[in-house]
Amino acid sequence: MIKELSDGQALWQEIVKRISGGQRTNLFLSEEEVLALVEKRRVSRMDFSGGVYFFAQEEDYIRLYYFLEKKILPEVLPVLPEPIILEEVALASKERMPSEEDWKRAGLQPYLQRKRLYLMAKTILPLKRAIKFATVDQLTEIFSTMQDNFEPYTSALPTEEELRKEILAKRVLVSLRGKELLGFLHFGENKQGSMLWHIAVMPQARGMGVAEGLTKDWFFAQKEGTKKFLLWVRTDNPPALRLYEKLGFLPDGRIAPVMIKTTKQRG
Amino acid sequence: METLLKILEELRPDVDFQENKALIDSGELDSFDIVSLVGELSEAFEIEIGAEDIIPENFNSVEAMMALVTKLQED
Repeated sequence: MIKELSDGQALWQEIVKRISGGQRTNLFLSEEEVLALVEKRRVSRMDFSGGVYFFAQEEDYIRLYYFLEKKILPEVLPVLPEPIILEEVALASKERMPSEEDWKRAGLQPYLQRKRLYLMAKTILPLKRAIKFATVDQLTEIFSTMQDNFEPYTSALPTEEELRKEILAKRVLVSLRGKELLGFLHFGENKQGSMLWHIAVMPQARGMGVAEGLTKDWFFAQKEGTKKFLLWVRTDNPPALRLYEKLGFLPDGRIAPVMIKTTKQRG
Repeated sequence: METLLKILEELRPDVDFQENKALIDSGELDSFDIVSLVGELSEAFEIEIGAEDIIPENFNSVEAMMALVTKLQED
């Protein structure tokens, strides 16, 4: 039975208890994030023997969080009106628990996988670049390119208003030919370092080194204030993997597989 | 100590654990690391890490983590 949740604090207490009990999970949120999740999203739960599912309603899909006691297999997922997305974080060196097969039996299919790469700022050779930040008149074009080119569920796409703020805060770099937009790079900062959130090159500008130039612009913009550059890259994107490898990025061992249960019935 | 360092290095090869004494406060370890560590330490050292033990002070340095493990092994 699926029940709706309203008490964020009670949920947080439960989460801590489950983690300290050694349960497996994909929920790595802080207390503030859990409280905000219950306040802003409709969150419901489904309890079963040895585990629980939490379903968080996003705009056009449902994000799945789970807790499972050791050796307990995932329960078959219910039929919900929107796609269910499971995003996990795991170590590439360790066997995934539950395995992909276990999740397939619960009703999910592999969707995509990302891996995290890092580059220590001190290893970057001094470079001087004439960088350009995006301006608000480029907002619409950048926003629609993001909408059209990024995977819709797990790409952490900003809303148009959020993107406007990011542009004003000088967190979006652009590559231009005259006034023509060739590509852009959106970054952010967290405690661990400077994080590349989104990078895109327009179709007509591909193969011209635009992505490499933007990545170097990002180094130049952030090198003084950060000790580490971080990014998640899709493992089915060889050109991007080659570029980051060439620039010196290394995997830190963390992977993020994503699985999906679509609403389409097999027939 | 060796087991602990091995677990940490496997979890975060990019972090200097000997040097950094503010692993949580500096943001070097995030919640994925903590949740993974709680599971790994419980298994490797056969201890039960309670909810009250999951506080920054117990995970800020290798020494603090080792002290927590030792305390829980004695309990």
